[in-house]
Amino acid sequence: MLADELRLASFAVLAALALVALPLFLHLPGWVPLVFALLLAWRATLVWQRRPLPRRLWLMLGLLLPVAALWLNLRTLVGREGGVAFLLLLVGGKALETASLRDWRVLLALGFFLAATPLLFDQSPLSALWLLLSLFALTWAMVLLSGEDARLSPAVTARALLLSFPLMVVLFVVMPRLPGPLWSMPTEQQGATTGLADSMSPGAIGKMIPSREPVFTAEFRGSQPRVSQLYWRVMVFDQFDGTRWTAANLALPRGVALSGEAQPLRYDVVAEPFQGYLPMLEQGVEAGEGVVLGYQQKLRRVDAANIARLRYSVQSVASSQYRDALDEREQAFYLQLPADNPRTIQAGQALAGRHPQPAARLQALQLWLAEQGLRYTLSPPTLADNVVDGFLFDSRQGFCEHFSSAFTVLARAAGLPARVVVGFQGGEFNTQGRFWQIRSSDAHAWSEVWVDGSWRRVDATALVAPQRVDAGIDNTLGEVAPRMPLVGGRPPGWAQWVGQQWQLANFSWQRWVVGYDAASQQNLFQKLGLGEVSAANVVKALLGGMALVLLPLAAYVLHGRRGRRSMAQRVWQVLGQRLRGAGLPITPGDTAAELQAHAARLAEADQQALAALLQQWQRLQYGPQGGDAAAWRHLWRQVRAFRPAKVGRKR
Amino acid sequence: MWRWRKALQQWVLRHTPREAQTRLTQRRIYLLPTRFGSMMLLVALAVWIGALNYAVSLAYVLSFWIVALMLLSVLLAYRQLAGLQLQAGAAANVFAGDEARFLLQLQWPDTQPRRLRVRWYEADTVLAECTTPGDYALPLAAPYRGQLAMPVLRLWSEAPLGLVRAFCHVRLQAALWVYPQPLADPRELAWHGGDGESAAIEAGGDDFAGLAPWQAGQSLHRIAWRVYARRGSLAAREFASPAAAGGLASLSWDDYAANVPPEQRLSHLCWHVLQASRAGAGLLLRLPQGEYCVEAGDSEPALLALARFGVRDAGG
Amino acid sequence: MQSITFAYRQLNALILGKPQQTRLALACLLAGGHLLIEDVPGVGKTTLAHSLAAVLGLDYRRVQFTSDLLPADVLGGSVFLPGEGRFEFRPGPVFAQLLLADEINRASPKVQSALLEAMEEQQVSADGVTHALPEPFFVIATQNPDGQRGTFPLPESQLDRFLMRISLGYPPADAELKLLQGGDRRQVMHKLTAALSATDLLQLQQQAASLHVSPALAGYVLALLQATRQPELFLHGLSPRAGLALLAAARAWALLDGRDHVLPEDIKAVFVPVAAHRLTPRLPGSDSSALLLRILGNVALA
Repeated sequence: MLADELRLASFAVLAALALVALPLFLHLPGWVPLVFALLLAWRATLVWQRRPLPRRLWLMLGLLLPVAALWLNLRTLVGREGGVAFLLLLVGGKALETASLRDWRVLLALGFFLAATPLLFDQSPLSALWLLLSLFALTWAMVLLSGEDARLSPAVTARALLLSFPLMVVLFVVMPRLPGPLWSMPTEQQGATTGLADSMSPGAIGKMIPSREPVFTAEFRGSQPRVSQLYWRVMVFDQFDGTRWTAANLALPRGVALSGEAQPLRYDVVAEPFQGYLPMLEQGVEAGEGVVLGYQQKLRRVDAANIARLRYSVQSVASSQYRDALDEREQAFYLQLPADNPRTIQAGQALAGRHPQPAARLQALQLWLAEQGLRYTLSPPTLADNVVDGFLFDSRQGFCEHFSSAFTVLARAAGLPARVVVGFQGGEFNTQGRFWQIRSSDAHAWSEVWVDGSWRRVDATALVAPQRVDAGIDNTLGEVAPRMPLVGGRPPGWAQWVGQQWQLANFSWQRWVVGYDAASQQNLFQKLGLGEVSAANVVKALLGGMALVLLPLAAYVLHGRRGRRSMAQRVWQVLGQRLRGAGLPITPGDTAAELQAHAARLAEADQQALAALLQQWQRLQYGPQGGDAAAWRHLWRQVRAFRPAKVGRKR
Repeated sequence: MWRWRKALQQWVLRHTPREAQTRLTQRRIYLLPTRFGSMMLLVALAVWIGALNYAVSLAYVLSFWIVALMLLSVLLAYRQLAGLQLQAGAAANVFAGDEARFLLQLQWPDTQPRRLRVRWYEADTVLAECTTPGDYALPLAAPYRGQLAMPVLRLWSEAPLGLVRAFCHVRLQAALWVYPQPLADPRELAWHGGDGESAAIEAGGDDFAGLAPWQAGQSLHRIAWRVYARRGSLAAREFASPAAAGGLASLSWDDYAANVPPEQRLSHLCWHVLQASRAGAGLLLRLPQGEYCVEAGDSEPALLALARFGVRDAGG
Repeated sequence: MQSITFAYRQLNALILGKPQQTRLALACLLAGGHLLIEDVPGVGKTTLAHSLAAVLGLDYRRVQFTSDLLPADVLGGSVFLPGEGRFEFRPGPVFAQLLLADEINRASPKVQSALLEAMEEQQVSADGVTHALPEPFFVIATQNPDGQRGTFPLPESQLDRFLMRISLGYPPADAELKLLQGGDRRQVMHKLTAALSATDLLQLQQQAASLHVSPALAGYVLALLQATRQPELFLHGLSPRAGLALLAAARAWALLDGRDHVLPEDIKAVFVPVAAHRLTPRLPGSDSSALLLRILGNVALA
């Protein structure tokens, strides 16, 4: 390999590495990718100026500094964030001791490994697109490193990736997936992402409502539920400090007991954990593989620290209550209230005095709230101090957080154990994909009150604005929407259609690419009639799939024509093929007259046909008039139709 | 490790038949991942384990795509060699210590460009990078006198990704003669006067310049009868050029003492042959296996005789 | 066109069994190039040159080249006229429309280069006066094969001046038998009639030069030229000038076929005669004609 070619290839490798690491800016402390980029730029400058590499000792010392900083920053060099950041720095260092072709290839291989790291953080279609881009850049560098002509290299790269794509798909579908991880990951503190916050402060404007961003999808097997049944439970807030609801995260062993025997709904959900918890329809009865149903009816991953998107199946009975035995200590816990909001506490205590029966008391509390003249709005005034009092008695406007918070406080004041449940309510049914799309704007909060040994759901919002539950938030806010730029109006019909298609694509992406796991594989194998995902069946599918893909691929690669050829070349080559196929000893340099001479062994009719073709060929190719495209196409068709009979082996 | 390598080499050398020409088919073409290819497989494995552990579907995509590229490379690398037609061209004789140049004629059935490299099986230097069909000169050091057969060739290609190497070994039928290395010899040559007639003409003042076809009308005196006796054709001695200083030099194997080793003798003889040829003189070379009369300006037969002396293989 | 076919037929009646060579010779002259015939004595080189001159109606001279020939013997020289007391230029044999330079490699390099210069420049300079050569002007040189004693092989740069080099070779058996029975060929030669005049020939030359060459054909010629430039085959590949010569010869060949455009067949027919003498094989002992034939077999038309 010439020095100049290697130089070009080295630039390609460095550029590919930079491209690969770009998305890490979103996921790592910004300075880590920055240091990486600087190291690459340094190496590129050295290549550009043909200067020697820095001394290895200096490099080691120079690298020690950012690694130390990384330790101080993240307190770890392993795990997802720490490991990726550490690897990034090491690869950057490696680039600075890369000189020979072999070194560059090692660096390139590391680049391929690096391309996997952004996927640990994000698997959206955008990430996939970036992966594709990265793969192209890396493969291009690979092609250049192997000494390919620089001008041909992009085409060679694209061709290699295209041809290997079907092979990759077969492997992706057939190679067995494991249901669980090999080892558990170290726990990481993950900052709040999209979705639900880890606390609720009804005084401030809700953060999740404004966005129509899709958060998770659910697919029901069998019958579809009604929208009003769709209470997606995620978290439970059971501690109130006067302004803010938080989760105490008690972990008591508790089973699930349901009153009444209804037919359970079976469904699959693809979702990312919210603060470690996954959405589940109330009331869950059985959790599928990879998830576990715990205290307070909360669903979480088996490997709780993993915050990656997950596909899981659950069974729920759509019910507004479930049985739970609380001991004295627990009852007391769910009754705790701070001394704030005296007017609410007073109202609650007054109602409690009038209705000694807990069930009747709950009825009375709901009735009382409905009579307060409260209004549902997404833009309530902000409240300070005694937020519940402020909402119930002064501003009287609010949304689900205000309602649920107020009702829970009221219930506790009335001596009923109560808590706030946060999750999502409703969803949009995608008729094409037959799945439910739940968005950020579907986020909801409601109360749960313990009466007569059962937790009962009380959606205080529904008491005031019942359409919020029956028709979804879009319809509830229909009239007020224009005044709220954050929410945006209900989109026109065509936009809705586009939106649905996009959702469908996104859903399929989640379902078939991101969520393709052991269970999906099992399903697919059964649909294809392959049976269980066993070693024998995997080998069978692998062999079958590979044969299906490899045979045409081999035929194309080994016999297919490459490069762009003119019509004249195609005509000439096909003609040569036909004659060779007929058993004539054609050589590449044969002229028309020589072909005709060879053809003396053909049948009379074939000879004449060939003579006519050759005459046309000569006229178009060499004649003074030349040939226009139409004439060439005509000849092309004729040549393709020309099939001379094989020359007899024996006479 | 080293011994295994040696044994493998021996096996390959033994099992590569000598052929006049050959067309590469799948039986001849071997495919192995390159060092880089193995490294990429390791990367694919690492990414796969990561994907397994973190349940990252897109990482599976990456891992499997690397494997797919690898599989594709097998086909692509194979394609580089498949159907290749090899043949050796005529190679010129050389002097020992010089570089012989074997000619490799490469053809392939289609017009697509290929990218392959050639080296001698037992040496590491890349001799040629072939991208078009055609003739490629392959240099080979020729340190010893004798017959030099074309060694085993290794053709290989890693195109286009460098992940998989397709290679094959071919031994083509081609040989050349390696003349002895000319070695200066201070000994004076014995100058041969020839028979009586030519002596008379020499007395006439002109020098013998060489032989030419005898043409009717030329003096009978000028016929070189010795040549006639050996070759059956009439040749005339030419005396035209006064510039030609030579005569008929006589060289003999026995001019040297018995303790001079044969190779050294041959080298000395070779030097004398070249000197005589440069001087434009004819030559009479006596070797144990026979006598060679060499026309002026044509040293080839004498050199060949020297090269063939007790024929030996110049390959090792 | 009639006349040229007639000329061709007459030539073949005289030169038995060599239609390809006579046609090449004719094409060479039609393309306005000089011809080099390389052969052993006695196969009819002189006869070919002589009869070409006869059928084309050209004024013909022959010079036997020997080692003692001087440039003035070919080009002509100034002669002192004692009566008038001045020098006069007496044109040499080169001032003919067709000059047969027999055994050109027997002459000294000095004479060779004088002739070749005249061929190139179409004129002769003597004592500061330039004398133009007639039109058309052809040289047919014959040469003994290399390696014979007492010859001065033409240097490569001068071989380039000849459009083609052909070699007659021994006649086929039946033709030779006819030759042996047929009596004196010189008698037949005297019966040759001029099929065309010098002006006709010039017109035909112009006609040949105007034949159509399609881009595809030019591409084919380029591919051939490039194939000769592989460093493994020849010391130097064919020059662009050689490419033009190839096209000129192919045009003349196509004209002999009565076509108005050039085909790859024409190129193939003239390729070896036009190219072989311009190339030196890299390996001593290999034959450039054989290498060129291999190139012809491998370079695809499209």
